[in-house]
Amino acid sequence: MKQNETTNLIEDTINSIDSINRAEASPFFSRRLSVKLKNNQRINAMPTQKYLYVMATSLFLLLFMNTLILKQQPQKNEKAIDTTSYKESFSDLYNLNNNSTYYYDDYKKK
Amino acid sequence: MSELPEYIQLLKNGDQLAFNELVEKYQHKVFNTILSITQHNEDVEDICQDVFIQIFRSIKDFRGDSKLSTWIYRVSLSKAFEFERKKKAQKRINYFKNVIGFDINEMQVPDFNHPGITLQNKEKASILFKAMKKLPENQRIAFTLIKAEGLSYQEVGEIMNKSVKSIEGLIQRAKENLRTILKPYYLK
Repeated sequence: MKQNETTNLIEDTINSIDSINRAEASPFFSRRLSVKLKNNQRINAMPTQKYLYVMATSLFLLLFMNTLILKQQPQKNEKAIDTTSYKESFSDLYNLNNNSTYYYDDYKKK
Repeated sequence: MSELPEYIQLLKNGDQLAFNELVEKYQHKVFNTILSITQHNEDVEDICQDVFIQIFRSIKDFRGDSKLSTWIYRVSLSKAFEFERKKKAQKRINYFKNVIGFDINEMQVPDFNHPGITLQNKEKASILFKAMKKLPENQRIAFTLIKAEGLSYQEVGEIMNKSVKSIEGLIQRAKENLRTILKPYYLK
């Protein structure tokens, strides 16, 4: 008997949501939704502005990077000067050797 | 009217009046579906708004392979389950915070009362909604759409991309599972 009662209760419970009244949704729903949709449309209506913003940011980043690269250029030049100075000193040495050769030739003539 | 190609074209063109009509026509269906799945009275309006915004944004991609109502139900279900996954993740974080020692009072999940249920069925429906949360996702969708939304097996099959036979199978298994879940409650 109790088994039957339990089975009936379970079946009643399973069927308890059969008659939901959908129209019980919040009455403020439509108004709030239309407000949010208007905001959304406003956001959607700005793709050109968004595009311009992205372009401006990219341009700024490009210029910034360029400045950074240009800042690095003098360091390279400094290195170049170093090399030149090394070459100069080498040629000085070479000249000195030449001079010594010269001296040696002079010595031979003598 | 809502399934006519001309009307759908108006929606695709962003016609405000056509969209208002769509909201008027489907808001209760969307609201009820989301409420039955999420069982969160506080967040359901926000999720509904997200659903309609999603529809508004992606109506251009609607190819018309299925009915507009089917597509709207799909969007609603996807948003409802997305919300539920976020809630579950949040719960897990709260649990770990609790374990670590942060003082967060684990709130007991309140009983869910659907506003559209008649007074005499309120208690039983509340128990049923709790049990429905334990069903596998497919069974839960099929059971909710057929029982709470009153859709036919054919319509649910279209929404879930399944045959009528498999929907019948899902409902059968959902009922069996619910009986198993509810039995200990009533035998107490």
